[in-house]
Amino acid sequence: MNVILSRGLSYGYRSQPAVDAVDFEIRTGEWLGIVGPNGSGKSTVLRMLARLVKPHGGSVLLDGAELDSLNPKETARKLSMLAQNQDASLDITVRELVRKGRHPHLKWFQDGSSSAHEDVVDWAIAAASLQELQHRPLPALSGGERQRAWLAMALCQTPDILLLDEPGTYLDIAHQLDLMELVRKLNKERGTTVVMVLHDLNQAARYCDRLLAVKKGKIAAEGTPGELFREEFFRDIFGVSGRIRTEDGIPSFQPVRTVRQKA
Amino acid sequence: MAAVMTPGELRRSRNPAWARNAAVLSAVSALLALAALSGLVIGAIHIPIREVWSVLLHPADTEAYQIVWNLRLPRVLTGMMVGCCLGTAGALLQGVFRNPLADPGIIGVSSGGGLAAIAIMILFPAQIALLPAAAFVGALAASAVVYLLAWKGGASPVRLILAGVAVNSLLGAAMSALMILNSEKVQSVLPWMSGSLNGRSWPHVDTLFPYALLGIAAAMMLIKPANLLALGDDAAKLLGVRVEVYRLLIVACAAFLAGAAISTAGMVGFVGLVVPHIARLLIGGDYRILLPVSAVGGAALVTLADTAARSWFDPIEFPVGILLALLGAPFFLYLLRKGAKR
Repeated sequence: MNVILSRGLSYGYRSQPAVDAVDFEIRTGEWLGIVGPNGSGKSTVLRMLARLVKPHGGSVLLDGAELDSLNPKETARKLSMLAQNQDASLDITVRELVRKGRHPHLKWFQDGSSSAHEDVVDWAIAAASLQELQHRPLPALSGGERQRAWLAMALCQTPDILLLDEPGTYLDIAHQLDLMELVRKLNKERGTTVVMVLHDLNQAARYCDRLLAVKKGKIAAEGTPGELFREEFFRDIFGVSGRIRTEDGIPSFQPVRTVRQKA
Repeated sequence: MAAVMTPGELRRSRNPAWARNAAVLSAVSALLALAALSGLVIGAIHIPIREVWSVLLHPADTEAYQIVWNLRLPRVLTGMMVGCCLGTAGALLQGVFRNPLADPGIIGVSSGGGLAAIAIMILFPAQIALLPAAAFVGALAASAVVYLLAWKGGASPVRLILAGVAVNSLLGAAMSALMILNSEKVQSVLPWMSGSLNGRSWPHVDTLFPYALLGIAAAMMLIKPANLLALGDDAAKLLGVRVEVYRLLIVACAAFLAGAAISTAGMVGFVGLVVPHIARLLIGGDYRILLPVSAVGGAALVTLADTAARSWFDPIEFPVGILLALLGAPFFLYLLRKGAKR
C-alpha cells in the first residue's frame, strides 16, 4: 500500500532542472529517509510533497488523489511538516503555537478551546517535553527548544504522514536523539508514515526503513540501509571514500577522504 | 526538569500572560475614558466635569450645552473613531507583512487618499463637499494598484512593500507637483496634509460611523486568519490556510479602515505605526488581545492628542497630526531603547 505516489515530479527549468521527473512511492507506515548531497533537490522534493512548492511538471498522489485537487484543510489533517526555518520574531507562547496545529480540525468560527482539542494540545506538548515551557514566549527560547515547539505544533495536527526537513540542524546530539526516538515512537505506536530529509547518514541507517538517494534532481539509488550501504554508494553519490561496518545488523559509514568525481 | 504534569494539570496551569493582558486592556480602556472626558472638559472655555455631566444627561439650551454637544462631543467621537480605525489597520498590516515598520502608508492608502484630496482642494475647490468620498476612493484605488503590481502568482509581503514604496513615491511626486504649480492655494491644503480634526462635527460622525463599524467588525472576524498568517506563509499553508485569499482580505480591511480615517481627518500619520507597535511590546503578537488593545489605544491617543492640540496652542487650531508626531516620536524611541520588559 502506498500513501504517496510521485509521478514524473519535476521542478526548475528544462535546461537545468532541480528535480527531474522523479517517480517514487511512500508506503503506509514506513519511515523513509531522503538523502543526497547539497543542492541535489531533496528538500525541493519534500516541499512539493508538502504543497509548499508547486511542481513544474508531474504530480503527487495522496491516497490516490491528485494533491492539487484536494481541499487544503483536508490535506492538512493528513499531512504535516516540520520545516527547516521558522520565523524567529513570532511573539506568541509555546502553547498558543501548538494550539494552531488544531486549525485543520476546526470550523472557521471555532476556537479549539473544547476539551477534546485541548487534550490533543496537552498530548503534543508532553510528547515534545515542553511542559515546563508551555507559557513561555517563543523569542525567549533557545533554537532547539523553538524547534521542539514547532514539532509539537506539527504533531498537534495528528497527521497520518509527517514530513521533516533536516530536523536535527539546530539540535545538539542529545536533542537529536530525543527527536529521533520521539519520531520512532510515533512511527511504531501510531503508525505515522514518516518522510525525513537528513544529512546524517548513520542516523538514517539506524532509524529509516528505506532510503531514497537523490543526486542532481534524479533518484540515484533506493533501498534499505543494508542494501545501499556499499563503498560505491558513498563514492558515487557523495564523492567520499570510507569504510562500512555493520553492528547488530545496522550498517554505519566511516568517511576517510573525498574523491574527485566525474563531472 | 521538575515534577511531570499530567495533561489535565498542564491545561489548568494558568497562563501568567492572561493577568497581564487583562491589566493592559483595562488600562488602555481607562485611558480612553479619561481622554474622552478631558476632551469634553478642556478647551478655550473650561467646563467643569459636573456641568459636562448635567448637559449630557439633561440637555438645556445653555452655552455649555452648545459647546459640549455641538463642538466637543462630535469632535471627541470623530477622534476616537479615526484613532480606532488607524490603530486596527496598523495592527493588521504589521502582522500580514511580519514587519514592525508596516503602517497604513505602506500600501498606498495615505498617498492615494492624499492625492485625491489635494486634487479636489486645488483643482476643483467648488466640489469640496466631495473631498471625503474622493479621498476614500483614492486611498482604496492606490492600495488596489499596489496589490496588482505586487501580484505574481501571489503577493509576498516583500513584493507588496516594494510596490508600495514605488507607488508612494509616484503619488508623492504628483502631490508635490500639484502644490508647486498651485502654490497660492497650498495654505488651505496644509492642515489636511498634517491630519487635523478642526471643525469636525456631527455630519462627520454620522458619515464615518458606519464605515468604522463595518471595518472594525470585519477586522474582528479576521483575528484568527491574522494569527495564522503571522506564523509565516509556509506554516500557514501547512495548516491548510488559503494564504493569498486571507492576505488579500486583511490588506483590504486595513485599507478600508485607514481610508475611512484619512478621508475624515486627513493624513494622520504615526498612530497606525506606533500604537500597534507599543501594544506588541507590551502584550506580544496574539491578535485576540493585540487587535482590541490597538483599537482602543489608537482611539485614546488621537483623542488625547487632539485635546492637547486645540488647548495648548489656543487660539491657533494646531493640527493633531503634527502634535502626534512631535510627542509620539520621542516616546516611541524611548520605548524602543528601553526594550520590552516581559
